[in-house]
Amino acid sequence: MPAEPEERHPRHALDPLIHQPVRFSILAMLAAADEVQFAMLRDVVEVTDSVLSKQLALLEQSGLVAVRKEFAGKYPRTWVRLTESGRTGYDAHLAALRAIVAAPPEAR
Amino acid sequence: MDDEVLDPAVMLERSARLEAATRAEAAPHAVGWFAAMAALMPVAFTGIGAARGEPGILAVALVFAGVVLALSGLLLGVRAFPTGFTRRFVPAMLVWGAVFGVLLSVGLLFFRAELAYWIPAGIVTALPLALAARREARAR
Repeated sequence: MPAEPEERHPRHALDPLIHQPVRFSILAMLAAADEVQFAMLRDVVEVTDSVLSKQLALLEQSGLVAVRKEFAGKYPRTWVRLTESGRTGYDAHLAALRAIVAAPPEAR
Repeated sequence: MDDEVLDPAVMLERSARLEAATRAEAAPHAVGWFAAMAALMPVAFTGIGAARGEPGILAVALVFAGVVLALSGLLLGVRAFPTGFTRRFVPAMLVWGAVFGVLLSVGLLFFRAELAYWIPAGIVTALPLALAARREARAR
């Protein structure tokens, strides 16, 4: 059994679910807001409705985001927010990224 | 942007840019709503003080309610609410509501048509809203 390194490389703290660029971008936007509308996420992240829906479904299944639907008059609106575990996960992911960037080049 | 793998520094830069974009969309609505409501208070209170008789006060109250509804309608177009907005909004409105209710009641009972009361009362009523606008502008 290989010996445990004294200190694991920060890349081990990266969450593959969060590291995917579209999902990471969604979480970055949600981290700066209580709630964000689906349409704004789609426009800023620059993806199609179907791509965004698919990624949101994955994030929702993982408990990282919560989705709420409402009607403004006749028009349906979808609001998305980060859950507590989503915020914790995103913050931990950012911390890991910062640790990687701060590490000496040969250790990256 | 699909399954590409990005450099950590690029991802950090992206997160900062997207967080800033969200704040840039969300904050002006919250700040603007509180600031517009704050600006409305001295006008509404002065209007009540200047109104003659019950019909005049009722007319001012109806115009006031219409403007508040119109301002609140603008919030329907908001696509993002700043972090902590919901948590800050309720206490701000409770404080404003209490100040508004007390000063309006006292004015209607004891100081009808006395602008020397209504103008300062309007300014005092605006203060909780102005402070809320300031807090939203500084929120991160």
